[in-house]
Amino acid sequence: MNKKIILVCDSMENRIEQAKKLINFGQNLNIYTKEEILLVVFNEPDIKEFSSKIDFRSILNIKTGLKDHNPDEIGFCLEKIIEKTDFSYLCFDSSTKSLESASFIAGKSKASIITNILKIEAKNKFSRMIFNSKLEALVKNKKKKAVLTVSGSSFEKNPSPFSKESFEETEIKPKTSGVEIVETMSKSESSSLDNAKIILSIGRGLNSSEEIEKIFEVSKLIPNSAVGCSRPIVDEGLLGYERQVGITGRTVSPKVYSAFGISGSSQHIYGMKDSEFVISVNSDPYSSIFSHSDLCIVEDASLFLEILKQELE
Amino acid sequence: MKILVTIKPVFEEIQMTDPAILKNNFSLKNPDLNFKINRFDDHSLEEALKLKEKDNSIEIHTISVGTEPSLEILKKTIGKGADKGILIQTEIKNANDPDFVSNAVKNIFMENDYKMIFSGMMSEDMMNGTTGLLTASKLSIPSVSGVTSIEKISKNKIIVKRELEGGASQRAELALPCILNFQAGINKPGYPNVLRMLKVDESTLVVKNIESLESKISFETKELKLPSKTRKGEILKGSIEDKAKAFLEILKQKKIL
Repeated sequence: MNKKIILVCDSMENRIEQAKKLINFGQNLNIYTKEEILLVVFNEPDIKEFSSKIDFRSILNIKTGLKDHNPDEIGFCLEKIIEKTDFSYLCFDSSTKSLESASFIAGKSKASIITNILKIEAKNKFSRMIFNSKLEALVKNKKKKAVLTVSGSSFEKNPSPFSKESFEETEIKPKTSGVEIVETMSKSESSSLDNAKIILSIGRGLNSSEEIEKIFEVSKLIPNSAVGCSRPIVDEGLLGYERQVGITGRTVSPKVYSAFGISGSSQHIYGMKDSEFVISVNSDPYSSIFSHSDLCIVEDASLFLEILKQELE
Repeated sequence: MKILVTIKPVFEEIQMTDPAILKNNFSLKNPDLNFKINRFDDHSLEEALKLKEKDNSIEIHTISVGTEPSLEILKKTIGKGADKGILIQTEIKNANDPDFVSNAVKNIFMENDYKMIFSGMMSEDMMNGTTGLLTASKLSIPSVSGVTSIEKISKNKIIVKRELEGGASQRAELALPCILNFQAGINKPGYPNVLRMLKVDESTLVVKNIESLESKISFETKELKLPSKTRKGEILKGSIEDKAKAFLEILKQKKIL
């Protein structure tokens, strides 16, 4: 049985974007393995129309009869698929739910699991972030099969339009391992961050109510500005959820994003990477936020805010 | 009811800030390094201790896979209120491998009658985010990640709230036994009680070897480097006042001021 690169498109909301990202990743893997790529989708009503939208023609559509799936149900379906289709790599997106499905199938298939891949460096060699995104590690897969999750924004380019044509459909009735979703709550609808031209964001380096007051005072002096923050500030109860920028918060793209005392975890970067211009202030010259900034200011962020306020006044 | 809490030692924050230190000391054997409990695991242990506060019949065991630093942080967990610590002794490359660690946790789970495993949703150092989920898959028990609170526990079920991307969240019901992978920042972990730590002996801190476990790791780290820059990263020179002026100049150029 020929091994395949299997890409798992498990999103029901952003299916096209997710499929394109996975196909791009799969085609990059194919450079090293020369194996065929198979895209797995769930309950796609018109597989040929979907194929033309993503410019890819090797698709397996799994019909489950369900509106949405728990990650273990996705895993259950994949377990059935890999009984018949051998794989070298089984690739997923990096969302919480995709990671849950990926871990499920890795545990069942005795494959290794390598998460949050940024780059494919060589055959079986991948780059990923470690140590709060302060370092990049080159890791080598040691098993014959691997389950991979693809990091947020690394493979979002449009894939090249090449694939062997193969459209298949199969029916699977998924079983759950014992998880039932009682309720799903979506994000709060609006936030002052949505329309701001400049966002002044505060991070763990400035986690006290006095510092919060300081950043609001500066914000008052800059028109069309809003105050944002990284996760630890919300955890400390200093600012509300609607101001959090990052994977579990809001995704923003202002003209200027300025980060004060933010270290720059990959979770935070995900939320502000599309900003037009990024200025960061941090006393730690090795802070990873500086790798994602246009302008870097190595200073005590609290003192810098005071000087900034004086200059504005 | 018995709860098993997985614990990993990670470098103290201050040492994470200098990549040069990390590059030269990427070994847990170095005596100059200090370790703390992985932040996510600390919050997960605190959730277990909160349950024990309400119901004293709950027994908390903590487990760590690794060497000396693991032993030290297990003592801290007993100081915080855990009843027993279990060290699975192995070299560090195994301790950083989710496949290896999940096999170790699975073995301990199967030797006991735990109702739940509490785990941090990722470690601050390796950021794999998969160890608890992988253990659940191998044990064929339910698991969810990103748990922020426990809402209700009954004899055979638990209801939890968990976070998803983009500010969304879910309430999920899991059949017991299950594995919960906790988000950080959901509670305020307490400090260890020194007297409790001094009383730690062979009955409360058990060391096990891993001879029966498959020792082949699933992937290895070949090289560490500074992250690639995604933007220009120009470093501003001058006094703090000069830098503040330059900051405002940019806002003028961008027509914000």
